[in-house]
Amino acid sequence: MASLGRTIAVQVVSNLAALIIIVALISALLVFYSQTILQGVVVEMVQEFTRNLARNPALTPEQKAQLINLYQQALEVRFGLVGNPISKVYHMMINILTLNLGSSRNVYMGNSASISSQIIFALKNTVILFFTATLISIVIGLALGLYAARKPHGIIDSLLSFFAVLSASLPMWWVGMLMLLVFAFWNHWFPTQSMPVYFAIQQLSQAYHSGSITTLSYILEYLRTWLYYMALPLTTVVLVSIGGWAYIVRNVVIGKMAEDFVMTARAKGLSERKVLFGHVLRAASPPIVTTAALSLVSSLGGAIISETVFGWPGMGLLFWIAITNSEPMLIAGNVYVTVLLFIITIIILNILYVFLDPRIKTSGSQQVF
Amino acid sequence: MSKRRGSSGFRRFFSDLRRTKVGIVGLSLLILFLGLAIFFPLIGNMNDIKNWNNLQYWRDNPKAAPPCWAVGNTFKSISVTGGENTSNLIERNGELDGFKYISYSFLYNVETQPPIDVIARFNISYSKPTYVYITMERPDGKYISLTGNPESGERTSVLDLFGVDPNSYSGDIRIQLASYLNNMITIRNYIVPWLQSNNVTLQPQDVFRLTNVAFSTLHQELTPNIINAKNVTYLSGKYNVTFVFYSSDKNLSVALEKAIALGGCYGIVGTDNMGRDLWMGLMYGIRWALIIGFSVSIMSVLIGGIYGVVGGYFGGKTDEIMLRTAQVFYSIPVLPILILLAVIFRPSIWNVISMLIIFGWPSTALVTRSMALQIKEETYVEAAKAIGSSSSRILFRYILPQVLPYLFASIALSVPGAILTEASLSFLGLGDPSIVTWGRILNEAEVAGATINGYWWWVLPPGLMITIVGMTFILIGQALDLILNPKLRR
Amino acid sequence: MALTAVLEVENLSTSYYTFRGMVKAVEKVSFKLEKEEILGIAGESGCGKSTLAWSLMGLVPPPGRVVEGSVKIDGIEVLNLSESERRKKILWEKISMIFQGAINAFNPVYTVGYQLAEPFIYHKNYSKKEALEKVKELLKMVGLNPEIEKRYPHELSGGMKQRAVIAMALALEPSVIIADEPTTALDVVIQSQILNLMKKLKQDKKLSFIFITHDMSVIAEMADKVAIMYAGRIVELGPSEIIFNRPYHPYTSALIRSIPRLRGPIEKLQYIPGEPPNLISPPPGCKFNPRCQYAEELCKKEEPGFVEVEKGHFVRCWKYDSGKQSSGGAIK
Repeated sequence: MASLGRTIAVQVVSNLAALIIIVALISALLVFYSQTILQGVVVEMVQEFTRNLARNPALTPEQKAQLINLYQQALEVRFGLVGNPISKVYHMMINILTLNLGSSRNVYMGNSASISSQIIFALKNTVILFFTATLISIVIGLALGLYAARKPHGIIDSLLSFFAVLSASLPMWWVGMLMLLVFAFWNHWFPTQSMPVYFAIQQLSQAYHSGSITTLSYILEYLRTWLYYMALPLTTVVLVSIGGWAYIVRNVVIGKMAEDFVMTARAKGLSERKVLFGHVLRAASPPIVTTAALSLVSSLGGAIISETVFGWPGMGLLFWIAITNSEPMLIAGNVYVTVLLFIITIIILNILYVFLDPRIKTSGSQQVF
Repeated sequence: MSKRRGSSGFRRFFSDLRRTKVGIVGLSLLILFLGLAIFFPLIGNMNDIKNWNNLQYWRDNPKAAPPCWAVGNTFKSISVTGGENTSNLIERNGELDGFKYISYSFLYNVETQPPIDVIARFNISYSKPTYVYITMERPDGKYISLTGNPESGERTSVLDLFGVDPNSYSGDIRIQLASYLNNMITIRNYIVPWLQSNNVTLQPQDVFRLTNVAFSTLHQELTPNIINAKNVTYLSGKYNVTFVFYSSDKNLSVALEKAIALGGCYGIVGTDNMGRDLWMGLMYGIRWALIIGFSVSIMSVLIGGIYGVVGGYFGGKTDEIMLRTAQVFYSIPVLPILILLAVIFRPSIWNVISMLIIFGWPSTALVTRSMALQIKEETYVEAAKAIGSSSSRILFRYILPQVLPYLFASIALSVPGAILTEASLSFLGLGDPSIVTWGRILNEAEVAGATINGYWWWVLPPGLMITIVGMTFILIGQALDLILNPKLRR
Repeated sequence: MALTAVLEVENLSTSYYTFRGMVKAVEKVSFKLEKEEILGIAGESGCGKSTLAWSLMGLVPPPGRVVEGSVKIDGIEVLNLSESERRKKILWEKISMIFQGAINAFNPVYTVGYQLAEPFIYHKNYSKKEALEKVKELLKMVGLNPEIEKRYPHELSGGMKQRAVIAMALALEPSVIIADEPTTALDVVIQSQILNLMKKLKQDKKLSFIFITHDMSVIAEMADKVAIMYAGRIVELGPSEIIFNRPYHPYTSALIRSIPRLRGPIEKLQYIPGEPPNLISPPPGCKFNPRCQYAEELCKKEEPGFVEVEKGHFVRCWKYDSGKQSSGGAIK
């Protein structure tokens, strides 16, 4: 048991080290980014300031020059453009790691300019969409994969193989564009952008609180509104993910079914159901659970492009907004949260795997992923 | 046991590959795409690609037009060139009242829909004041003067229509009839009087409405409420648009380069909002997709494969460093960092490829590492060491040949990912603007609101190509897997 | 005799319906197994031994199927029963199996104890606790520390696993136990331990075994009765001493001859030339004829019948088929 503890400790440490290295890389990149991109932003803002000042007749040219200088310096400090690069990177690392992210210049999502709150807002939306979609894909994929594994080369299995190949080559965002084309443009069944969902919810709760609709219809309308805005993105994600996932399940299960212990279980007189769920599935659970967990967590980064296509206010869109608006700390926070969650999941999975597959306990400090 | 794989391995794979159904489909598709990519100059028009960013080149194409096979009721574009012997072009010249005139009559037939524009390009040369007179004759016999009619004493100078020096000029001129006609001045001067003389009642707001539809209105049946009618009926039959250039310069020369009656459809998959032929873009994109796919996957799999094998075999510090590096890369979310790098460095396609390789090698390395770890323990490796084989010999003779099949399958399976990632970057507008890729086409589509405007021919084909090319490689990779797995099982 | 026969197999045939054709893995096999008897089934790899074992249990994997024949265990016709009847009454209760390569017979994610307890839980409705008590007894019986039930399969050595598999097969005290290559993966020392264990269990518990192996020396050690299989057919069946000392079928004698001897003059190792036949398109006539030094025209045309040449001794060879034989007597 002591070696088990040691194994886990080693894995945790190495994963955290990876996290710190990633943060260092991100910080270095962003500092470089600031130098190049933000410098340009500062120049633009100073020019704007200068133009505004020019309209003011009350100041002398010297006074104006002084104000412009002060403004420029203030901006440079605010955007972190002063100081030597190493200390900049160091400070940025500390800020990112402790989630001391400050505020962005504008409010891009939610109600406050605080970067942390915007990230939380976006994370919530991504979870609602992608988590749900991945969950649905996993459940349906599991059922499909199991069915196909029991009747290999049957109709379902062949269809499954085809969809798996399709899944791996379809660009999700393109499928999204097609969905919009068919269901939002041609048929007007669903909206073309999902951002307004919060506005709609707000109006709904106003109606509720002013007493014009009943609680029951409020709840129903609430769900209906979410579904209305979520239907297309949700369907897109599920459609694209399901094939690949079901195929993985099918392959793992077929692999396990060919093992000798399955015949042993059958010979012992266990029912087919018991053999499938009690033995095969249980033996297949380590790889399946870990793959499922990893895809759940990967989905937390949102899919940047798919979210922009649908206008879904999640982590992916937030990242893109941060990029197009030149907000380095927002970029940093977004990426950091995604990576952090990913690494935490890996650590948890490494521990979980030990319980799922007893063989790993004694096989050394290698991490499974 | 595993010694059967080795030098004879290569030949076996290709013959095995040919035997599986999946492999055959994949291989034939691959050959098709390779052929299309390599022989593009023969099938397609390289000029179209070279001029992809040159909007002038595409001036004469209908904008955002669907393919002709998909649209039922539309005008099919026709064009004539000067000197061409066709019933759609009548060239005349002569002298009248001391003026030399050269005229080109362009005839086109309208069935259910009129053209969306008539474009004419001339090469002209004169050294004295020169004028132009344009008329349209409709199937119902009515004539419209679209410029000043010299018979009534009004002369329209080439300056007004073409913006060139009216006294002396030598060069190209071009006119788009619809934009000329949809102009308030033209409408007031020529179209309104003509309509009124044909018993059409015009309210002031109707005149404004004409600025959008003057050209198509001229092709409609003449009824008193032609402007406000709910159902638009077009007058079918032969239309004759005549361009007459006249000048006191006896050396006036006008050569028609091209006259086009532009229809609402174009080509095999239509055009984008700049009028670019999407079929060309689609076919040429195969080249880049294959280049990107192959270079990224081959390089990252080779680098990763060798790195993994070396690390796995030698163990120790080299292995540790490699493992940790791979781990770090593995945990980095690829697309966000790529986007960040793309924004900072504004990369060319080769930078993108390099970055994809840098992010791609770890996954192969991890697998080949564990393979090397396993093979290292086999007795024949022990035996080889005992007889004094050097490490490099063991690596090349025993380990690498067994890892090679997996590497091949891996190369095939990595191609779609590379193509997709590059397409994603281009779709966001972060790709190389000097090359034509499917992602870029889709980016332009999204920016132009193709989804909202229903330009399905712009949205569907590029994504379809990405998918099919991706599927090709997955099928090949799957076939390779099928061949490898039974052996691995034993 | 028929009353004490624990297992009666008559004309059993099993084929695999594959894409490339029908593989006749087991063809018209007949034999009887008496109480407290060990029947050894020997033959080269691929001769159909394992398929025969699976057929007896009704566990032939698809695309295989039992095509014809009868299998009676304790007088009950097994092949007619429905799936669920077979599962509830026959499998593991009347007939169980010790699998080839015990390494994989266990599911790696469950403890050894749980897997040994499963038959008790599902056939006898024991609670988990009661079942584990029984498991501990079983483990003691095969010479293992009962605490092993808490362990996982990968924590046991090869020999320990094999004992555990034997214990598992004994759980419900079946009438017939099939041992499919039980000692192939073990070293000689462990092998003899296991074999002695099985002999002891047979005596103590009055068990009947079918021993399937390609190792003639194991057969010599364990079997009372021997059946030699070739290309899915039993070519010779008889008491152990007769088969070893006076083999009739050319294949049998070649097999026996190929066992190297420790004592005696040093001679060149004997072997059987050629390869086992392709079971999709086997040669016509006697399946052994391409490799048989005594093969004649008749052998290439017609397949010989299974003839009783002495009491309890059957041979499938034209040399001994009355009326068509060219010479009689045993072959040395």
